[in-house]
Amino acid sequence: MALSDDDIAELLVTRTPEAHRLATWLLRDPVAAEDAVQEAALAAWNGRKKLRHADNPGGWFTTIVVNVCRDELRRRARRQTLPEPTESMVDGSPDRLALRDEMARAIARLTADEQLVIGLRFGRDLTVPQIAAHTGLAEGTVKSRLHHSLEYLRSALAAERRVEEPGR
Amino acid sequence: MNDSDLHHGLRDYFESITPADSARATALVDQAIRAKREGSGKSRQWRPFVALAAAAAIVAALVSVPLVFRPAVLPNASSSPSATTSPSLPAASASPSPIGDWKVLAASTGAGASWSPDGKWLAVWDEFVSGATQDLRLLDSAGNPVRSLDGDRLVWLDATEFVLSRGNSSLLGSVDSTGLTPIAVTFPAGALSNNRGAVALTTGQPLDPAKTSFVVWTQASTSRVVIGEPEAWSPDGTRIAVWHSTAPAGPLGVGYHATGWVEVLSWPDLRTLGSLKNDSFVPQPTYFDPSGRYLLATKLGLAGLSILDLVTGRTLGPSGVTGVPAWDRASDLLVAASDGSVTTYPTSGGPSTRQAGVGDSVASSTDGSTIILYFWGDYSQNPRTITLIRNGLPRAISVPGGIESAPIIAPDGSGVVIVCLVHHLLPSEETEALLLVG
Repeated sequence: MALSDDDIAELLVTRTPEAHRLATWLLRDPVAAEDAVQEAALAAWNGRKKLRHADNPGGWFTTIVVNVCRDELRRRARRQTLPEPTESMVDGSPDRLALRDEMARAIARLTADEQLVIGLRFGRDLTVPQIAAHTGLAEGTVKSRLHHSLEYLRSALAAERRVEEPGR
Repeated sequence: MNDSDLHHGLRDYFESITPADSARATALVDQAIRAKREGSGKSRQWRPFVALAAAAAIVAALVSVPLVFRPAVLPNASSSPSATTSPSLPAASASPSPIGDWKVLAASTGAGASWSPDGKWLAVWDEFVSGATQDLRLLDSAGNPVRSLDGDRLVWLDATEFVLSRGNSSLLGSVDSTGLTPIAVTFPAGALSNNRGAVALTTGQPLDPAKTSFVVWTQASTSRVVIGEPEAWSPDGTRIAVWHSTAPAGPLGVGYHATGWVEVLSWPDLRTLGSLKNDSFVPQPTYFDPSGRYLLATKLGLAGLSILDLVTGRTLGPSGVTGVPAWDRASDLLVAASDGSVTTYPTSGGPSTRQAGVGDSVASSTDGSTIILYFWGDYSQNPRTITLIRNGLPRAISVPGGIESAPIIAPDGSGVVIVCLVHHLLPSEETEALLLVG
């Protein structure tokens, strides 16, 4: 059944909280995520002829959010800028805060596309096939990016620990 | 850290940044869609601070306009810009017809390449195959396969020898032999080779610039530990630029800008040859010119570019100029601006020259003999055209998609690899192609 303009407007608005969480996980900045979701909603609205007959309108919107965030991550990589810390990050024990701090630094050093895949996997908790579906990447490519991202994160975090631990 | 700890740490991190409230995002989307439906022409509902930021950007643009259209010159240069075209850039009227002169080396995402110092060999890596290591291929300069290699990364030591990283082990190899010899040193990601047998290996905390250090490794010895982050070797491999962080990390390690100062050390004695003491420099881009006399370093934001003259010890301009920098073969500085113009600033002191409409990005080979001009990203045109200038001769080459990575140019300029990306905002397939440009 084709969706009307009212249906599409309602779908976009009701899906916004989920899209905002997703964009925050990908951009690691809730304010930038608001802009991304707004841009994605407008892109979806402008392309609603396709959305009208989409098998999975919600998934279609999610994919647009992912693409907008991917563009922003790439722009950010080019500008060599990092996101501002979010307020919720200050909650937790000193050890957890320290690990989150190291994690934030390490993720920021991944490539834009690796950051995207890591956010979808560990923020949104998507499976490899789901990530492939939302990014348009081959499953092998998703695995490759996850593999290299985790390898880098592991070695970077281990290096931090080696230096911090006395006597080593 | 084992896999379980890493996965748990990642999930905890993402949980910690999950927004508790999306009411403002919902209101923004609701207002934006309403505005669209009502045809008010207000496609986006800007927040007050966004409007302020936009106003600030306009002011910044107005301030920067004179810099773009009235290029600064180096301190000992004439103050009047010349209308003549730089000898290293093509005249606007002489643009040749685009030619699709390229060969596809890889057509998947996650691919990369590295030239041997003499441009005769090319290592290409593709998406990993077995889940353990990447698919690394050794090609000749024409893109013909020579050999497959089982490893993650490859660092060239010189024109024929390389070190292959495979997991935590390192293997010494040569293009002349299929044998690989284990060596007792771990090559970190980003190992920086001088292409003459010496490689700077980061040894400190890679995530904390203030605690980063490195050693210089050769097959014969390993240097003392040096504080700082290695950024660039001079073309002759006798000088290395090192960046020292001075900015404290932000409260939680994000949202801060890594700034510091730059030092040039000699090799192999690791003696200080000169420095840029201003604390506003970022690590990259940092490039030596083809002669090794000048070092280009970049300040944060709009503070611009600086050149250290290692003969006189002086710091040259061009003050306040920002953009994408590269060196040409005459050791003149090229700066591509966001308006699509490229300005040449002679280090010899001559007038600067500006060429409009050639690209908002520029890259050059280590010896400056090959220059690539292109427009970054921008998927509006497909296919796109880049300008390849080899020994002063321009050639326009049509490529099948947008470019979001700097071209990979052989140090001697003999070979060029372009990474193209065909990408659409709406759901669709994405393709990344590694092209060997003729």
